[in-house]
Amino acid sequence: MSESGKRVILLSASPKVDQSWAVSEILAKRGEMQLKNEQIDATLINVRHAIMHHETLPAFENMQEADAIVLVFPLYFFCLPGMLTRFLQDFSTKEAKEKKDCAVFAIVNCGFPEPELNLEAMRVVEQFTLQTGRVFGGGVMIGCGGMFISTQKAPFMKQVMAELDSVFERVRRYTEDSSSIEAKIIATAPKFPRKLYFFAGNAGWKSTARKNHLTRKDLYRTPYRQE
Amino acid sequence: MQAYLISDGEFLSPRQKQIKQQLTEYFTAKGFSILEKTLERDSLAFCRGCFDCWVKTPGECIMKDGIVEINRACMTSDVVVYLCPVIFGQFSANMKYAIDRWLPNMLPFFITRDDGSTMHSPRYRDYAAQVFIGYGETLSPEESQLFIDINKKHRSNVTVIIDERDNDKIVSALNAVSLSRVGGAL
Repeated sequence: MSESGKRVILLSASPKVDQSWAVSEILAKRGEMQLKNEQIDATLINVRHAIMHHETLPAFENMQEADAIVLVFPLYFFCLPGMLTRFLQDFSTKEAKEKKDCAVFAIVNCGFPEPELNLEAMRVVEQFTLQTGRVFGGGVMIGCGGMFISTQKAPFMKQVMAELDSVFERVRRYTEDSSSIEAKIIATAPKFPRKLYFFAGNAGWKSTARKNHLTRKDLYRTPYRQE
Repeated sequence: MQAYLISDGEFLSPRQKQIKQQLTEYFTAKGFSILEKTLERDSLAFCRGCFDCWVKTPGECIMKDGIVEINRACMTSDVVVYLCPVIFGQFSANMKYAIDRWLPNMLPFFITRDDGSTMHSPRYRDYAAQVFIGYGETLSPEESQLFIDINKKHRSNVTVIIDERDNDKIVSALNAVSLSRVGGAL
């Protein structure tokens, strides 16, 4: 497909059951489409699907063959979700062989407004890259992930989408010229008032709880409280 | 007083055994009863980010596997020690499964921390003192610092100890910590 013959793997790593509500899956699909439009040989691997269907070995083989890997995932406790940790840990112990001409990029989103809270997760990806003998290509850290799905086409999301697309463009450039690599990490979030984001988020939790027939007080239950 | 010690059965090494022995002796000498949990591969399911623990069964994970026992012990102990293999500068997969599924123990609502960053509100009035001991055969300074940052930069009342293969240093570090329940922000 690609004139360069280079292969890109996008790892979509949201642990959510319903992937249509997973920001990471949406972002990874966007990248897959953009790269394919540029005639790049891009393949999306859904990490949850691979683990749940015992298909990690073929996924690892694809990763080992790849010239560029893009990890797309949500922030869990200020680093990688356990599911992705398992996947990368197994890859490094079972399949990974040094491949200095493979670059690893990352797209991390968190529910907090501050995209900088993703930085440690980005550093974990860098460590994974170094320890598996690859090259770190940086990526983008996105804040306010909680509002992404409902507002992705809103004007205040334009900058976020532009920064996101710039990462896919860097991946494309890398497939043409591997000397173009620079481990640039961008932090971006929608231009949206923090107080309003808090208000909308908190109202959303209460509203969902009501639909589940819970009262506001129920949300504060303490089932493991010591007597 | 109760100390809860969580370790990873996938990374059993002579050094891990030594640290566990050291911790057992330390906490016994201090008058703690010790509860141990060794996480094996697939002891727990991974967190699937459904948030049911916030909006459906508040305070409890919807998946009733071993996490019920773990979260109850975490919330009723005075100190919880995570004996963590450090992988790529963060937790090993087994440990991360347990840590991700600690989510029910906090509330969904956002608060602003003293440094201006966002965090979730605490669900409980107080929590066990949390000690993370990171170990590994060949930890680089960058990995060690990353493990410290992951645990300390964004959370309050957390102690991180990087194992330098020196039991006395672990004891000194524990002696510097208040090993009792702590209130306030997470």
